[in-house]
Amino acid sequence: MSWVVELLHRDGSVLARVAVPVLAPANLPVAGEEVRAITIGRSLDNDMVLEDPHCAAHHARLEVTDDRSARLVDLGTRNGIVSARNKRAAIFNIKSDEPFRLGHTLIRVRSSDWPLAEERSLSRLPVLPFAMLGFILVLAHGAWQLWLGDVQEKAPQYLYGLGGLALGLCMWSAMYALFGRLFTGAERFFSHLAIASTGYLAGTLILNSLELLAFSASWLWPVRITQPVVVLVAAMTVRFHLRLADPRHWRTLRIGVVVVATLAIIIPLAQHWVSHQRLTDVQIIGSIEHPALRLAQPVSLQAFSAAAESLKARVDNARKTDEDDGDAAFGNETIE
Amino acid sequence: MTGLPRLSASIPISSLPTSVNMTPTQRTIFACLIFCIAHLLPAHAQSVDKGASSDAAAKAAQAPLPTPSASARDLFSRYKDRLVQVRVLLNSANEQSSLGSGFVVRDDGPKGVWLVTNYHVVASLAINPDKFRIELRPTSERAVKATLVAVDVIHDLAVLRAEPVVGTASWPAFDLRETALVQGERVFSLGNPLELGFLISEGIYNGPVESRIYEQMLFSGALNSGMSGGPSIDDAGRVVGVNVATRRGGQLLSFLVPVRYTRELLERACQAPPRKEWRTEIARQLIAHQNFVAGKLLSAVHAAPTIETAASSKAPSKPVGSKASADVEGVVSAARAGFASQTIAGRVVPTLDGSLTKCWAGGRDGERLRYQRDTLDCSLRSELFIRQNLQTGYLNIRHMLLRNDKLATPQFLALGAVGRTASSYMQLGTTEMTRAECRDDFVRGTAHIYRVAICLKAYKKFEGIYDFTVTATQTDDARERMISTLSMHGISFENGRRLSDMFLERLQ
Repeated sequence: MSWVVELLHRDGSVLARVAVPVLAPANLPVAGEEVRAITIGRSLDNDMVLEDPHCAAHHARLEVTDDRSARLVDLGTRNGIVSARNKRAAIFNIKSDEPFRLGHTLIRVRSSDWPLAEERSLSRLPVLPFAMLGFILVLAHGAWQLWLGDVQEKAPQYLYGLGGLALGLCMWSAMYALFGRLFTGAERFFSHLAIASTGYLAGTLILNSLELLAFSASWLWPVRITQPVVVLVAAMTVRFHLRLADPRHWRTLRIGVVVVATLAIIIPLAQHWVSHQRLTDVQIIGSIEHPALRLAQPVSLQAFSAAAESLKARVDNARKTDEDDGDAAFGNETIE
Repeated sequence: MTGLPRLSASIPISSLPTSVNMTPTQRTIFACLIFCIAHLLPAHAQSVDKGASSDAAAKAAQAPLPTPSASARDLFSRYKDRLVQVRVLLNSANEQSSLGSGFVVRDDGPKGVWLVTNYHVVASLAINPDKFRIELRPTSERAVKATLVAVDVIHDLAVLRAEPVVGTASWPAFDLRETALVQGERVFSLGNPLELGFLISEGIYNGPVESRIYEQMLFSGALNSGMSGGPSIDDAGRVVGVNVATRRGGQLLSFLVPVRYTRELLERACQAPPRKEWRTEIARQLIAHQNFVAGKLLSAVHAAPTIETAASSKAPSKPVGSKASADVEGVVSAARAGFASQTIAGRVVPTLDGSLTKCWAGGRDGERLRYQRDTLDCSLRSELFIRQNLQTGYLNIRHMLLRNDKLATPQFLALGAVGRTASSYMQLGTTEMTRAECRDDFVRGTAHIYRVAICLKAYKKFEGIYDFTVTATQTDDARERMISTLSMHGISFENGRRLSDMFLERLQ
């Protein structure tokens, strides 16, 4: 067996690897003297030299003891050795491949005895057909939308519309492909295209279902939540893109995606609340669907009219709250 | 909707300030003020004012007034001392914000001098009394301070009281004519248009104006911006009316308020205690106005059931008349309004009828649709001028019938998004109005099921009046859709609700 010290980049990739020398039995020194060790530090006479001003000249020593275990020893430094759990100690017994921090440097100690993860099988998902299917479905939906508006004698510009949609989708996917190329060296354009198409189709499906639900059941909430739902679908799409393009930074990116999505939902709502003391302006259902899809029972005219009474109290209330700013009319304040 | 005239055909003729000799600083402030006002105006009103001023300016510059007849010269020299220019000044800038004319009707010596002008000349002061003040400029060029003592929003009149000036001779006053005029009589209109100086303009009285809810006189003579509030006098120098409006684009189509409303307002003004706050009074008059308008519509229906004719498309059925109620004074006796039924492409819909309402049918020209679209717009032209950017007290009905000709069903259904009438209910609040509060539901009508949306807005400055919009969209037929909208401006909640109920009941 052998022990290896790895110098890690912050993203987890290995920058350098130094093995603890294995000594033949003939060369074994006197028993009890631990010579199977390597030193780590800034000084050039170390086995692993660190370019880190926050490290000592001789910072740490990795010792392999007789019972084949290893330990990392602090050589009396100012910044010491800090474990992944943010604990500082003079001596760490190596149990796992969790990294240690020496100054600003990350190292990891591994043993060749430790079991490795299974060989991962290649993805069997047929990316190209899937991407093409998604792409075609998106174009089909675009064509459907254009066709729905084709109600005059003069037809709309189908080719410009569809061309623009296709170009937009490809540019979007290409952007993530380029991003992936920069970070992992692999473009995976068609995977990104599949993700983008799926996101588009899922968003369309969800929005249409919400509209249909609103009409069918005469519920207002489905049309009120459309904006956050769009943000969520977009965030999920971006999540898959980023995870594919740059899996190594995913831990950090994940937080970014969550934060951005949360803000994209909360900020418009908060601003609306500040400006208008309510979360949404959607008060009626705009869409008209096929009569057969209506499930809600119509109310009688009297019932509807009676329910409209509540509007009066609401506008009167609004009138009271902002009556005072009415005087600002007429542009006089510009002169004052 | 192209081809429809503006709701308000006539425009008030008080002028926005034109250029005067000013210091550069004043000019800057002034330009700003003009800009601010113009900025606040709705697009159509802006174009009207600009058009009117430029027209008038062009007229004044190019075509000199015809040589005054002997009596006009005589009348002008005899009565010009009784005229004033009414200037509403902005306190903060000490400059004029609106101009008009006025005339002296009574001199009570130490109690002050009573003058009459138009409400719309002093509207900004009535709405914001602390920000403006009134200054009168008689022909003698001395400036006199004045206060507002009474307003009549409905007839667009206001009474001012000038501070008595010690040591000056009493102001001569106009007599008000008691007897009615006969069509064809000569009338002379006096005022100070566009700050060009006082003038007299000769014309002919052409009878009461039809299609006005409140009585106005048609004057075939020139009225221009700035002559608002000036008197119109007969041969004997007695006031017969007050200059109020002119028709843009018309030739010598001007409007006067009959003098009897001036007399009534003066009587009220003399008894009224002095007040500084006018919004409640304006609100009270607005409520009286909408009660009157709504009463016409409501009583018409109760008086007689609607006669529905199976007449050819777009032919109006026999109107359902309404008696002009006697409790509101100053109503043109023939003025009628009411709900009527009309057919639009074979479907019977409620519309407005009567001499006060105008209906227009049709579609957009030059548009080639693969479905059938018929529209019918009716408006009850009873709007009142409240302030520069606010006219209210009128109502509109709009029907749009969509029928599928050659479209696939999904295409026709998707028209819902574009086919619905412009949604005023999404608007946020303005300086005049609160934001809209709406609700909608499926409602079972007599023959169809509608998606009905009601939106309500309140006027911030006037309590108890609202804007109501009711939109009913038929949702029970995949090949035909009727979209009907009733919008009521400046109406009380009770009347709005009653009218909207009535409108929805009558949707077939």
